[in-house]
Amino acid sequence: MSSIPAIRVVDVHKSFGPLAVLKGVSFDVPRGAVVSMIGASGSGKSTLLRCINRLETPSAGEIYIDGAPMHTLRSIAEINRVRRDLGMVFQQFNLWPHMTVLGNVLEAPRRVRGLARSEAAEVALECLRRVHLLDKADEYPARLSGGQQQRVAIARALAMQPKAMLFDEATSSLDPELTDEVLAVMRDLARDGTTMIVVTHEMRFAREVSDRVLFLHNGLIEEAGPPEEVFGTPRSERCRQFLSKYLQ
Amino acid sequence: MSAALREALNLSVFWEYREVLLKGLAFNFYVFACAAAAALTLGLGAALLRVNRWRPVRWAGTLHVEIFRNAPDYVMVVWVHFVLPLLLGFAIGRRLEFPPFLSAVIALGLVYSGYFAETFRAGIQSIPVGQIEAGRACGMSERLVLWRIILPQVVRRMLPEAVNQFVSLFKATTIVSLIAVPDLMYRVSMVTQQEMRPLPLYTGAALTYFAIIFLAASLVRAAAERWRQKVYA
Repeated sequence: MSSIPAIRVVDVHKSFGPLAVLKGVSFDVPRGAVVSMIGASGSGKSTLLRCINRLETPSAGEIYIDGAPMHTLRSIAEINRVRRDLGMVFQQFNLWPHMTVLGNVLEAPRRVRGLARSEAAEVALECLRRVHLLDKADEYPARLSGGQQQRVAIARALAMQPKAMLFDEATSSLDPELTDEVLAVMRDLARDGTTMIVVTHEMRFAREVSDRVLFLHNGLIEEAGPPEEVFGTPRSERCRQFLSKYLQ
Repeated sequence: MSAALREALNLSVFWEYREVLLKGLAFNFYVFACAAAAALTLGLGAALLRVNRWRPVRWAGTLHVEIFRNAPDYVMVVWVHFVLPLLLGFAIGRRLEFPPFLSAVIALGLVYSGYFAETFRAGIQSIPVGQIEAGRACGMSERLVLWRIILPQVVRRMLPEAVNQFVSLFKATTIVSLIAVPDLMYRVSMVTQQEMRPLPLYTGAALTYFAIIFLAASLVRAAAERWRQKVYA
């Protein structure tokens, strides 16, 4: 296996006007690894994730996807080519309500990858099977529960056969019982060796599934390490305080 | 019942001239179809300017909307037919004349593009930005996002409002007789001069317009409602 990390983030800064949200963040995500980002709201986790696939443009710093620089890309077409390799799952699902479940999942393989409809449908159905929603292929999103919608969103991201998956608080808008079904799918993906960056408030998930945990505070990585270290013997006082609120 | 009222409701003369009048009605449809196509295209263009991230571009869109939405269609038809060719002719240095049909299509297309632009704009801005980001995150180009994610939803959301505008546009086609487009109203006035029986002829025209607009608008509204129930149930 190549030693080039799937994702490399080097000294990334991001400001919105005078507000500095990221103040120099660096980390690697090796292929097949699961990296969880935890931290209080406003610590910069989501912004960092959005910088990685260029939904936000970093103010400074370097980002490499599979060794290829993302930060130097200027044209939308070039950025789009790299985005195909990064599946993104959002807090609010963001399904397209005018398309069926199958339509949502096969849209990008068909229109972006240029697969024939039958081929794209085959890929889409396989992805729906992975998230256990094969029987909902012909439903519209509005008829699904939140958990099912989020699983469709995961299938939609998987359908592009990305090199890595980015989860932006994928369970934060779900009821606890619906959270579990989404986390179960994410566990399956991790077990299958999918490279994942997971922004989450689900500490148990982060602890059990991650290879590495990053604790962000105030736009900086305050603590990073294997989950047993970050959760077991955190060095930073802020990280200890943060975790104590969640692990009570 | 007074004699005048009896005369107004006796549509036999309208029926007698049905062939020539129907041919006129066809012109209303031609003008409507061409002006609607122009208005939708220009309206979408102006709406996209109105939601552009660059302020001067947004201003250009706003200017288009304000000029044409505030221009009375009657005045525009006359102005486009008689003044615009003079202006353009002056600009290119030769005499220019528009056929009445073309003038009618340009004038109504421009006026209604102002209304459609606002309907499109409201529709585009009603699409949650997350859906657009989801498209971008899949590697979709801006053009794909527009055609596959935004517009299909905008069209369905704007349908009820657009039906009202189509109705207004179809009604507005009745003023093109002003510049001698041989539409139903133009032919009604021609037949009136010959038969000297304006009341039944104009009653017939009114009923014809009403029936067409009522039927078409009801059908489109029902279709839009069926779709809404299917997707947003």
